[in-house]
Amino acid sequence: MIEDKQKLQLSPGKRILILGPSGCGKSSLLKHIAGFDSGIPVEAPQSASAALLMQNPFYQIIMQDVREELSFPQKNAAVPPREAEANITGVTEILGIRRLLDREVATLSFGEVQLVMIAATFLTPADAYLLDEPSSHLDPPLIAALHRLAQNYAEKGKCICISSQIADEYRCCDEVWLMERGAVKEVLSREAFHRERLKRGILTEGDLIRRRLRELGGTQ
Amino acid sequence: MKILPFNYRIAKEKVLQNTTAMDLSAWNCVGVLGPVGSGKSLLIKLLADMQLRDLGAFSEYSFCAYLSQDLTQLFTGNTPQSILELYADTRYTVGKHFDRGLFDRYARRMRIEGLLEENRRLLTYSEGERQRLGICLAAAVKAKVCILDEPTTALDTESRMELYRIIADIRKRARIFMISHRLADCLYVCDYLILMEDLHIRDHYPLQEIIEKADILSYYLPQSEDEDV
Repeated sequence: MIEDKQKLQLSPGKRILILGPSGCGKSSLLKHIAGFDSGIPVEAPQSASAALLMQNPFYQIIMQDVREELSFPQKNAAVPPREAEANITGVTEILGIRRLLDREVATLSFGEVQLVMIAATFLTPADAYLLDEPSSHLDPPLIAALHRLAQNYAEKGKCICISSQIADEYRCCDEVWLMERGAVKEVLSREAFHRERLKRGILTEGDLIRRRLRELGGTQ
Repeated sequence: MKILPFNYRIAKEKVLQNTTAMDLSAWNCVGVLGPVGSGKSLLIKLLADMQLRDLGAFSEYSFCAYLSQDLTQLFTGNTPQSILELYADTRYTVGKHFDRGLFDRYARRMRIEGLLEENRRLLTYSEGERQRLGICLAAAVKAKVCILDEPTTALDTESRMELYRIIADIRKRARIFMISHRLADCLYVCDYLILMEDLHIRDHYPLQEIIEKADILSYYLPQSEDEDV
């Protein structure tokens, strides 16, 4: 169960990374914020709306084609067609998935489905975007693209909340929430997390790769 | 263990292909690395599919241990105990190869005993817990070939290191094919690499050679790392 003494705040333009071991309640926290359950002390304006991408992107597919999947959330929110088309172009270009637009969702690989559903989430008009381990099936260049998209939205005043197992992602967030056994134990700024990271032995993907390369006798 | 040249039509304008024959018999743990959508899972599924014996690879083996990319796609609505019953059922091929004692040992190492005791429906567990259950199941099947499809997604660093040790165990008795989009996984466990790109096998070489491949290293190393120690 999620319980919290910390005051957690979602504010416009802030990018938050939720880190913690498997089973510590990251997904539950995001679902709480999205409004699936009440009574969680997260501070957000009463009228705020949120778009949630769940951890398994397959649960949220509703259309057959990628293009329809991306148009649906906007049609649903009555976004004018021309604007909707421009939004799709913008988001798919940043993520580099324009070539997938005419494919059927069933023919996509796991990672591609994840990309499409990230795009669909960002195309849903909302104040906050909550993404549950959106990078689990993405390679580093695509993770970088995801962060460019998140930054783009943060600059427009949206709040972005990303959960992850990969600590590397702290570089693209303003705040890191460290979770443990169902509670947010600490809220650190990016700079504070950067200092604390090595002290506490939190390894990033880059650390792992470089350490192993050294063991193998590489120079990098 | 060979992979022969092949062309396999998946959809209208999508063909998975390999142009050169490769012999993998000298290698114990082969990693398949490639960008998203490059055909990694598909390649291994094709090679493991017994109907496509012409492709070479696994034709000498009739049964593989397999960790799928999403356990819930195989077992919707099941509980861990009911899946274990299924795996232990000797009427099926998997039952003849499944070692329950081994599974329990791996379950302790991956810290999922609590999950087995609670025995809730699979969908109610977190992705990482499901993934760890899937790893223990696949690791406890004593087949000659073990296929691991993205075994480290949703795992934290600690579980990942334990997984690397478990894979080292499996290597002693089986050939491993591991699919991953994370370079660290391949560096830690594999001795041979197949690089996929755009639905074809771009390259393949022993792991040691990757140290000299600057383009691959720069592609798979997370960006903006220079500020670190």
